[in-house]
Amino acid sequence: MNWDRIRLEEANQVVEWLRGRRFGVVEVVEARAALEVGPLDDDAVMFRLVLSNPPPGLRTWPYEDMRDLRHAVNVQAGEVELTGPWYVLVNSQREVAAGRAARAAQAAG
Amino acid sequence: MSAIEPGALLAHAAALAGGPGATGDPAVEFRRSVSGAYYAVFHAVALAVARRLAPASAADTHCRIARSVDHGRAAEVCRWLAEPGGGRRHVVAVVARLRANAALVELAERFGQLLTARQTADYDHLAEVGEEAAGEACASATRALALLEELGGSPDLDELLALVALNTPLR
Repeated sequence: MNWDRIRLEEANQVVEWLRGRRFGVVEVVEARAALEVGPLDDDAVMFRLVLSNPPPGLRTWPYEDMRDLRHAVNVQAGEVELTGPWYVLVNSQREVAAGRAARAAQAAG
Repeated sequence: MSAIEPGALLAHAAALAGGPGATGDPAVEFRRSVSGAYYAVFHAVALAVARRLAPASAADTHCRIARSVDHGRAAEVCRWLAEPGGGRRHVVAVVARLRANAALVELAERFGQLLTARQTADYDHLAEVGEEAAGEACASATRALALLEELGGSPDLDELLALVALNTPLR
């Protein structure tokens, strides 16, 4: 039995559910899951989400929307009986675009 | 004595999340912001553990006891609250009861999430850590400190802190 593969399949069900979903003003634009080394040095599922940019004038996303998003991940993980630890890491579209541009510039020398 | 004050750490983290400051390099400051947000919560929990263990002791004794609190051991206890059946054999029933306290579970979850974000910010060269990620970490830490305050003196928080202490080797 390949437990890693089973965990990833379970996590990917959560990812599929998350893609395109909205929590208040927050939209999950991209989502992926990977098994990575967690904070306790064991295998943890990392949900890496790219979210829509915060509304103009806000430095980050509204607290209530992010609370609802994180709660929804927990509920869905429970629904698919995801085992082991999981964590949610978020970035905005703007952050991801800036990172890609910086790497491209670095690669171009 | 120059204590590590969680509120001051979080205020500094929030200032760094606001954009270019002392270094003028936002990439550095956003990462330091995420790290600082986690450490604000970590130190608040560590000091709460020490105060729980020796409530009548002086502040410098609390600071010395708090030095033993370990990131991983504390996070392990926090994770127990996220998992059905979590905990060591003799405390499974205690953890199961604590899982009914939504505020306590939220505090435990935020501790684990912030530690993960902190490790990403501090060690993952390829991770994007921008203004929104830093702002989110600071918002989460603000909420965690508020939960710690809100739960202060409750039997459930006392039990969580006791579990962290019992899961912590003295250094």
